[in-house]
Amino acid sequence: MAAGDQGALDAFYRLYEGRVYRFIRSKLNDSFDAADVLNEVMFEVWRSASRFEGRSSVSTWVLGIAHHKAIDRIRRRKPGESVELDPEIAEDDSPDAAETLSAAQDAEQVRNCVDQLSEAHRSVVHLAFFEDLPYGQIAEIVGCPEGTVKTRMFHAKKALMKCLAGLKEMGLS
Amino acid sequence: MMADNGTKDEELDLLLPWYVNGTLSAEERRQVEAYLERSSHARDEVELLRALRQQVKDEKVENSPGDLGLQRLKRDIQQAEEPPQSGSDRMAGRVLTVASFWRPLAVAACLAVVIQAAVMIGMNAGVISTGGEVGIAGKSASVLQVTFAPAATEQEIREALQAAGASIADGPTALGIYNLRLVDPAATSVEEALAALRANSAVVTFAERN
Repeated sequence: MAAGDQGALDAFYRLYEGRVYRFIRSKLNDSFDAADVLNEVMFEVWRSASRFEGRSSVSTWVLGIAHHKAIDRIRRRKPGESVELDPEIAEDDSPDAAETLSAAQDAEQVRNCVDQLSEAHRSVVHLAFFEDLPYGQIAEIVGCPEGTVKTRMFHAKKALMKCLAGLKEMGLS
Repeated sequence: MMADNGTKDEELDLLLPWYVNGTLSAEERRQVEAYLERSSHARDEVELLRALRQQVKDEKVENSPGDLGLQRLKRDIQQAEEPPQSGSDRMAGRVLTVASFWRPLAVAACLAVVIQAAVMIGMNAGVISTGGEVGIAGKSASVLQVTFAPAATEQEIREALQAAGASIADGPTALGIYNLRLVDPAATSVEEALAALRANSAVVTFAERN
């Protein structure tokens, strides 16, 4: 692809499109925006393939591009467009894991609560649990220290537990 | 409480999601497993995290754009390679802008110069070269990648290449990138050629090592 081979572009697109789209979708919560950003990501991959030096894996490289493109899209959106759980508030008075386990086994409730996480927290949850990536690789993709990845995941988990416990109290799970 | 190597339980709590996804190092996994043996809190957390991971994996998401997305991408790439319709190219600053109408002429002219120079050098040295041997260096010989300004003339491109001690080895690619080789590697280093090309930013819009 670095040499401008469109056949290589086809193969690359077919190999990574699903994963990249799903990652962007998890960050943006909007299928139309996600399709747009996917196109931007693949265009950037095509444009910069000759400069890819192989210092990271291809998937880390392309997911890193996707991360930055999605962040750009979020910045262009109007402020206050989405309501997200405040992790600091959510952390207070956290329920314990055993109490929220039954709610965590309800797909719809989990999806509702994940959707309410901040973009940064959703990204880490997606990369850790859908992509099954190690925290070091996640840190490369989102461009932050490994410790930050771990604490984001910790806060995300607390926020999810609080959300799930709230739904349970309301009798929704 | 602490693990046998002094790691605090709070630090081990942070590792639990990566214990669940199976990506911890052997040493980290050993510490977490020891933590799980002594802590019911940790075991509950792991069970919860496993349930959350399963839900994330099982989540149904609408189909990705697929072939339609690929067609859109190819169309955008093609449009980016066409000459801008007005003075302001909408992709300026984001895409390596290229003008294609002059490129075949410029490439042909550059190649002619290179071939002519090579033939003359060969004749001066008493070497009879065939066209194939003159060969416009293969891909393996290229050391630099460049793009030229859309408005650059053949003469400007020729002067830029000569000043850098480089010649066209291959290209243009679909995005208008040319691979260059050094005319005389003993006389000019890659760094010198790169610096000379970058110094001529009015003609050379992009220059990197290959």
